[in-house]
Amino acid sequence: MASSKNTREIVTSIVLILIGVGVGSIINDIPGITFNTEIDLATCIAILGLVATIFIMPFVVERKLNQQDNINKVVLIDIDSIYSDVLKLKQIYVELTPRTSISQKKYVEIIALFKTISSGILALNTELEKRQKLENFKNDVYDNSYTPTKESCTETLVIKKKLDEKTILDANESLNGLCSSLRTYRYEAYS
Amino acid sequence: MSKTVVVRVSDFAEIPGARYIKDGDNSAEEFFLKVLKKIADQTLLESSFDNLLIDLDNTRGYPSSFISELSKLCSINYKKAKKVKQRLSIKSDEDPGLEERFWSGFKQKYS
Repeated sequence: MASSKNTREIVTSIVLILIGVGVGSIINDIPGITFNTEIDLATCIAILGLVATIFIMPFVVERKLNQQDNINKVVLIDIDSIYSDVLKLKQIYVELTPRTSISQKKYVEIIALFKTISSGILALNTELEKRQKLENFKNDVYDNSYTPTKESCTETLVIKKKLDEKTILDANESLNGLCSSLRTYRYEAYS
Repeated sequence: MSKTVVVRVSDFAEIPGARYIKDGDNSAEEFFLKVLKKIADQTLLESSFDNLLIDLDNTRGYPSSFISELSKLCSINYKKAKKVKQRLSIKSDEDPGLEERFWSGFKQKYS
C-alpha cells in the first residue's frame, strides 16, 4: 500500500520534470524576456536550501503531527481508564442502601479503586501540566474533585458498619462531579 | 551520627482501617499507639538528629479517615520536635497524593 503510493509520487515527479523540460525547449526564446544563466554562490545555496526545505518540511511536520496525535490518543485512553474506575465506584455506591453493612470485600474494593484513581490522575497530570488549557488538571480534578470525593466516600467508611442515607447521597453526588470534571478534560484533550 | 528509622504501615496491616480503635481493626489510632508512637518518641523526641520515615506503600489503599487521623496524632505529638519537618518524612510512591494529605493535616492546629 505504502510502496504503491511512493511509486505514484515518483512517477508524478518524473512526469512533471519532463513536462518542464518539454515546455522549456518549446518556448525557448520568449520575445522581450532574457534570462541570465549565471548565478552566484549565495543564490545557488538559497535555491538548494529552498529545494531541501520543500522536500524535508512535509516529513518533519507530518512526523510531529503523528507524534502529537499518538500522545493525544494515550491521554484519552488514560482518562477513559480513570473514568471507568470512577464508574465502578459509582456502581458500588448506587447499590448501597442505609440498610447494607459494608463488607470487608466492598471496603477493600473502594479503597483500592481510590488508590488506582489517585495514582492515575497524578501520573496523567505530569503530561497535562505541560499543555495549554489542560495545565489546571491537578487543581480541577485532583484537588477540587477527587480529594473531596474521597473524603465524602471514605471518611465514615468502616467495615461491618452501615452508611447513613445522607453519606450515600453525598458520595453519589461527588462521584458524579468527579465524572463530569474528567469528561470536561476528555473533551479538552480531544479538541 | 544520625540514623533513619523506617516504619511500614504494610507491616502493621495490608488493609488499613478507619480512624479510631472503636471503628474496628487496623485503625490509625491503633497503628499510632501500637507501632508508631514508641519509635517516633525515640527518633523525634529523645534524639535530635535521627530521622523517621513512614512508608505508606504496599497496602490495598487508605480511607481518608486513616490518613487524617495519623497526621493529626503526629502533629499533636511531634509538631514541636526539633526540625521535625526535615526529620519526619512520608513515602507514598503508589499514591503520591497521600503525602500531600498527610502534611496538610500535620500543619493544622488541633485543640
